[in-house]
Amino acid sequence: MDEGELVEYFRTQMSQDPDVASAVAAIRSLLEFLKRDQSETILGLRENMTRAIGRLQEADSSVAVSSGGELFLRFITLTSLEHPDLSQCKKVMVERGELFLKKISLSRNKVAKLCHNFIKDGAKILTHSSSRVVLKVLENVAADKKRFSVYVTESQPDSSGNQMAEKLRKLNIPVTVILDAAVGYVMEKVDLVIVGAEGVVESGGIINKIGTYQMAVCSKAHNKPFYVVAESFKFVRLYPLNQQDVPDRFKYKAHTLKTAEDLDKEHPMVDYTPPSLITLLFTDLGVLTPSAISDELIKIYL
Amino acid sequence: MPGADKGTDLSERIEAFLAELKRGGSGAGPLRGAGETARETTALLRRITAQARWSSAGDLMEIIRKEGRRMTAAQPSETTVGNMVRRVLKIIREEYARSTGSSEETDQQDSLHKLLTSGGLSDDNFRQHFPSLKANVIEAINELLTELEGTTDNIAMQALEHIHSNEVIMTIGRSRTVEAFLKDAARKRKFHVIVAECAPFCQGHEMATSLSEADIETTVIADAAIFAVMSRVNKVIIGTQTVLANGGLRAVNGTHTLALAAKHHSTPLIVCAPMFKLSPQFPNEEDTFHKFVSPHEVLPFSEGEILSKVNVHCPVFDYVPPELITLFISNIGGNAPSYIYRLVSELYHPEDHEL
Repeated sequence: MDEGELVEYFRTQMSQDPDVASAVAAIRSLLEFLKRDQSETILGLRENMTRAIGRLQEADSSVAVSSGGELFLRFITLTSLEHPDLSQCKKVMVERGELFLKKISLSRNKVAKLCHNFIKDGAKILTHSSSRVVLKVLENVAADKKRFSVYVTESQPDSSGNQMAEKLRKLNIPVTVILDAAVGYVMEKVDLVIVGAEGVVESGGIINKIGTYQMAVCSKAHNKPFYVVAESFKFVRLYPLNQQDVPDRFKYKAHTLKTAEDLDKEHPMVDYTPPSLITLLFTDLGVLTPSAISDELIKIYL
Repeated sequence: MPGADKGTDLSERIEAFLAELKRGGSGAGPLRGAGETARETTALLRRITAQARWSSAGDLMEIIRKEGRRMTAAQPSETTVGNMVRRVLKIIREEYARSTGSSEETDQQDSLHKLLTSGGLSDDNFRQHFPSLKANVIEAINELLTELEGTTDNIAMQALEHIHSNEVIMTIGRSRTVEAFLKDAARKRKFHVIVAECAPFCQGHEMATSLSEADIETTVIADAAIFAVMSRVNKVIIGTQTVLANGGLRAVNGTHTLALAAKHHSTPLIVCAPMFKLSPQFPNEEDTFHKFVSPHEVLPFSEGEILSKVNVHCPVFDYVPPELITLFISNIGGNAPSYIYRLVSELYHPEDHEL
């Protein structure tokens, strides 16, 4: 399977199931690549994998694909330590890969189950842009027969907030779309803020659609809880100290990176929210405070 | 038949304990300290382990979980009961793991690492029978009981590191742990204590009497004077009813005011709480966070006409967010609020968070 086919496979996965997380689709494609790989040694396999992940990142530059790819590479290394023989190693890897995929497809449900206890009847919720995990959480809360209303930001430049509003309307949840600039205005009315995350970094902060940082600062000023919902495969080994530290390959779309002349003049698609502004993170590993995230990351990369 | 007698004796004891829990919460009977409740719960759980009929660890865990649910339902605000049940459940898991020979560390928490490397779901846990399991579990529970008995002394032993001569300490209400802490420091240092009376039950008065009997200079102030006096205070030391999983507190009402005043003046806020008060619950989760008692203390029934025109509430607890707390002193040492998540994961298994 060459790299072109890999990207095709990835794109088909994404289009066939629009609900799937991009990291899950990436891992599925990498698993397929692994099955068809022809290398004779583990080192060769690893090199092919690294190249494949690089290619996928060029196709879709989101943080989630990067974290999913790194996790996959990591677990290949771990497996290869236990089974030095290549053919047996591959068999175990494929088995584990399938099991891993099965587990993470359940992770969104786990997150939703944890989070919906925190939303009380009559709550007013503010969210940012379009997140499938937040949608699942709100779906669960609505199924629990709780009454609540949602404010969604429009989230320029791609107006994804409107898509989120559509999906919420289909669930019969009262929703209002607000301008990105109106977050400060609306903040006094809401009870809590819930956002998804494209990546969760080592410090416990998050990387998410541009505008999240603003929302977090506002909610801190008004003393409103700021909750993040994310699956565990989004944890990345980054430690940004400020907005500049977020690598360029996450900030801009893949297309922009290739064609832009001066990146300084382009608008970034994501920003970084530091852990001091986040109240709690809901993940499939449990409800975590921001300081617990680095512990989780150490456990896997130890 | 001896078997039937043991069975009825056990259930009688459990019923008696449940009745006491229910009575203790209504404010009518004598108020028991959290330490006593913890010890009695653990002793009862040890009795259940010794006398109930079970063949595998799974059965025992089911029995304990069932009894635990009944006990927490009897008095939801008394979280120490639930905490002890979870500790015992964790003990059972550890002893079982030790019996099967697998190392305890790997099987515990959910982690990314486990997600990636585990070869399939381990479902058949806790079904094997080990004859020595009962003795091991009872021994471990005895160790837990010894630990419980020593908690106040362990905390008081750390007093000299935190209290220095000629300091002004502020506290609120009455906490046996803080009392022991201050009395231990008073043996070697001279300092001044200001106690906020903590209306409407005014437990601060008893605290002040007890402290002055130990030759500590004490002043009692009204709750409204807390902010005014705070500028002259060096440290605030308080006890709490529960420590929540995010590092926040559920403490006696008035504590949030005290904490905000301390933050405003940048005065360190130290919480003395033994480990059995640490609960894996978060503040927003349960509807049972608040407890209200008779408003007679706030507005006496003898006030007559006003009563039909106003709503009177008498809440017992306050939530204090973790940002306002500087340090937790417990029987295992001092910890920052951001470290509480780690202590929770060490003491309790995630599957036991919901009994």
